[in-house]
Amino acid sequence: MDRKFWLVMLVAVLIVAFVVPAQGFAGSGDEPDPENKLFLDIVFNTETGTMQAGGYTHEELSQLFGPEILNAVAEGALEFEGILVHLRLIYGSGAMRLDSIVEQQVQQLLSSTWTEDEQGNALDLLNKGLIENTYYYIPPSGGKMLTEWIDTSVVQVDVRATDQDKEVSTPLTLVMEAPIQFDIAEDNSVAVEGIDLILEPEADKTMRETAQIVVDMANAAVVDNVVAGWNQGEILLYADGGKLPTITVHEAGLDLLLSEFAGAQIAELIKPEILYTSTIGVDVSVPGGVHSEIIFKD
Amino acid sequence: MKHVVFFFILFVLVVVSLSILVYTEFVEQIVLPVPTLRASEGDSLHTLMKMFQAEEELTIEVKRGVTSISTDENKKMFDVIYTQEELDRLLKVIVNLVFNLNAQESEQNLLTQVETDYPALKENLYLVGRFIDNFPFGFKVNIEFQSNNTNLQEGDNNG
Repeated sequence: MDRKFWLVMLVAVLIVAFVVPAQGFAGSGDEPDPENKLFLDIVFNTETGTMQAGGYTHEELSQLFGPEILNAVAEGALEFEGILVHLRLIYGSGAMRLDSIVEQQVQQLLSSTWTEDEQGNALDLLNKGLIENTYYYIPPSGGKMLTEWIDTSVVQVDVRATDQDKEVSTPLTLVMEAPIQFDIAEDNSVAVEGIDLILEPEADKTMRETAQIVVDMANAAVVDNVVAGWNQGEILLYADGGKLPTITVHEAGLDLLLSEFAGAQIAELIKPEILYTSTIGVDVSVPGGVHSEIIFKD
Repeated sequence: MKHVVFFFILFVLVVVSLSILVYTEFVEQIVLPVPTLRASEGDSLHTLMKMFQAEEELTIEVKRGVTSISTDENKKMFDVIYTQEELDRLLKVIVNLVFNLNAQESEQNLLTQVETDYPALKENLYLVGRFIDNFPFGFKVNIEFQSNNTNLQEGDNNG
């Protein structure tokens, strides 16, 4: 065999040995930030005066939010029936856009950026309302966390009006690639994403009791950090950053889990089609534990 | 001489490849009998069935890296997917959890229990884990509910 043949072989081996792993390394070292995605479709029926949202009927939404609130929202929205043919609000990468969709033709109505200052102003307004009406408020550290979440989020909200009974809303999609971080302190107080939870005394007592159970279980299992996630039909588990077996949940299994752990009433309201497109998880650390920085991907 | 070495290596490679191919095909063709366990009202098998809300039948199938659980009329419920490392890690967590919680409840024999039972059980569980992971054919167990006594019998050859 001539030298040319060996040269070609050598080059091929070098490509396989260096280029392929290098591509893999480049891919894993340059991961984009975790993303949050929320797709919500709201449909108002002009004939019946009812509304649907995220795959839930008017009756189901009434169970969740109360019939008075829901009827008021439906009535209020239908006042604008003329312009409410199909509006779509999209937010992503700090920019917001409002489109009108008529017969599948998208017309841009307005667009704007949403700066950090503006987000801060919106948060102040929200806090004012919260303090006046509830026991809760979002502290400055919480505001920072919220703006970080917003920056890495893609949100699409469709609002449509129809006179067709058969028109149903698309099931809600909620994807949070980074699990929500919970920290349990020595005194069993709980912080979410680094923000101490401030609750009413009764709720605080229940929370601390629950936290103590979690700490006892973690101590017994000799782990300081646990991540549990639901990723579009899969249960992902990690202990101290090490992956545990993955459980794929089929529909019959989901029915079982919901009826066993969520109770009949809540199980009725949690829709499989929403769960199978959604991702959410928690990352719980007991005293001495370190968060795992795990990201759930499709 | 060079040609002899080259053809020898080629021959070895072909033989090894063919062996792997034949072995894989052979393993896939093997049909093991499916043992059927009879569960009776109130026994542990029946409790296991009730845990999965199975009324007539519960099937557990273990293959390399995957354990599947199905209930009545082959309705698939869960697939548990794991590597050997993940299985070891899970077993470690379970063993710690069970032993430490038990030790908290029964303080009287704590020292004896931990010193004697713990290493043995841990080793046995790890052994089971490794066995499951390395068993090449996989196996399947059916649990069927019946009202009379529990017994073990060989089922159909439909594995």
